[in-house]
Amino acid sequence: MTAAAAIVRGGPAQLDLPEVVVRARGLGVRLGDRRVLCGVDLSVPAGGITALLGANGAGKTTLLRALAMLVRPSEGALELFGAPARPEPDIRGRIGFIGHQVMLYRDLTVMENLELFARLHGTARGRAAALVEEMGLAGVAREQVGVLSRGMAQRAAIARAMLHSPALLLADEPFTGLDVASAEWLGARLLRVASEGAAVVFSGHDLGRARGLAERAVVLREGRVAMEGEAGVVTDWMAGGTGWRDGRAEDGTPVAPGQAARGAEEAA
Amino acid sequence: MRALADTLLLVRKDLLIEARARQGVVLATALGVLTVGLLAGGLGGGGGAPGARVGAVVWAAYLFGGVLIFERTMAAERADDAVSAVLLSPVARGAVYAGKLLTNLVLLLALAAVVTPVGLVLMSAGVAGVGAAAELAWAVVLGLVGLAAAGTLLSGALSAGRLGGGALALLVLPLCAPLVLASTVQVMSVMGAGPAGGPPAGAVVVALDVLFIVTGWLLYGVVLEA
Repeated sequence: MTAAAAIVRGGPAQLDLPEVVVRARGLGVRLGDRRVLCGVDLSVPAGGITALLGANGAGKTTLLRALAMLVRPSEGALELFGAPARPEPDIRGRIGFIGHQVMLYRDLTVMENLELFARLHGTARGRAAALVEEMGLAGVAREQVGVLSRGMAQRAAIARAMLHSPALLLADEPFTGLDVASAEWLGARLLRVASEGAAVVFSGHDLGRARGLAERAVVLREGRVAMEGEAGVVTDWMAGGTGWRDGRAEDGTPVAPGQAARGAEEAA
Repeated sequence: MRALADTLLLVRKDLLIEARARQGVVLATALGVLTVGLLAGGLGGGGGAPGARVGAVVWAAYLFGGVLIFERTMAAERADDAVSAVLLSPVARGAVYAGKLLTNLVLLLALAAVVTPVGLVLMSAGVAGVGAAAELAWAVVLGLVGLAAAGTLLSGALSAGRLGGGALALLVLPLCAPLVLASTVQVMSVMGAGPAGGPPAGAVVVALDVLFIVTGWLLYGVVLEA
C-alpha cells in the first residue's frame, strides 16, 4: 500500500497522514568529531505512541531533534509525512516538540509566550487561553517563565508544543520534573493526541510508563538501534534476564525474547 | 503579508524582552558613552577640525555597543532554547532574520540617539542647522543598518557554538571595517570635514547595507540550524 493511499483520518484536527509518519533509513548524525547517531532505521506510525528508550548519552535527544529537523543528519534518509524531510514551513508547522529545555522566552509571561507561538502557528484566537486553562496554568499565566518552578515551566512547554495540534509530537523526556498528577495528565494527553490520529514519540527511562503508554518501543544504545518492537516485549527485555544495565547488555549480546523485536544482531 | 506580520510579531517580542530585562541597550549605551568620553578626552587636544574626528569616535562607540546588543538579543533566543520553537514554527527564515535585524537596528538607534549628541558635545563639534542635523542623522541610520545586518547574521552564526561574544567582536569589527570607514567619511562630509574626491561615501554605505542584508537574508536560517 502506498503512503498516499493509506491515509489515516484524524479526529478534531482532521489530520491527513500516511500510515507511517516518520521513516528514517540509515540515519546518522555527527556533532563535531563525534558520531552521535549511526545507521538508525525507524518507522513511526500515525495514531500511535512510540517510546524511545536508552541510557543517558544513547542518542535519544539527537534522534528526536533530527526527526524535528533541528539537527541536520550527516547520512541516511528521512521521510516525514510520506515525503523527504525538508525544513519548509508546511512541514515544520505540523511538528510539535517538547525538549529538555522549555523552549520558551523566560522574560515573557506564560500567556505572552503561548500567544506568541499561537500567532506564529496561525492557530485560532483563544487557543492559548484555552490551553492555559486546560493545563492548569491559569494561576501562573501572568508570571514570567523564568520564575516558574520546573514542573510549571514544563507544563507551559507542553502547552506550547500542543498549541497547533501537531500531527507529529516529539517529546524528549517530557515527564521529567512533573509531579505524579501532572505526569498522569500528560500520559492521558499523549494517548488522546495519538487517538486523534497523530504520531507521538517520547523518550524516557521509565519502562513502566513506556509499557503503559506506547505500542512500540525503540531502544538506542551508543547511537544505534539496539532493539525495536512491541513496547511490552522490549521493556521486558530491558528489565529482564539479559541483564540490561546502564544501557549495556551484560554479556554484550542482547537477545530479543520475542518475534516483534529486531536489531539484536546489530547490537552484538 | 504573513511574513511581515510574523516579522513585526518577533520584533514586538524582542522589544518586550528588552524592556523587561534591560540588558542590552542600557549596557551598550553605558559602554558607548564611556568609549566616546575616553576617546574624546584622548583626542581633545589633537589637531584637525572636530568634525573630522567625531565620526570615528562615535563609530567606535556604535561598534562596541553594537557587539553587546547583538550578543544580548541572541542570548535571549538561546536561553532555554526558545529559538528552536521559533525555528519549528511555520515562519519563513527571512522573517526571523528581518525580525532580529529590526530589533537590533532599533536598539542601535537608541544607542546612537544618546552617544552621538554626547560625542558632538564632548568633541565640541557643532552641527549647522536642522538640515545638517537631519543629514547627520540619515548618515548614521544608513551606517547602522549595515552594522545591524552584519551583526545579526554573525551573532546568529556564533550563538550556537562555544566562541560567543569574544569571537563576535573579532568578526564584526573586520567585516564591518569598509562600512565603518565609508560611514565615517560620510559623517565627516556632513560635518564639513570630508576628504575631497573618491567615490561618494553614502553610495558605498548603501551598497554595503544591501550586501549585508541580502547575505543575512539568505544565510540566517542556515546558520541558526547549523
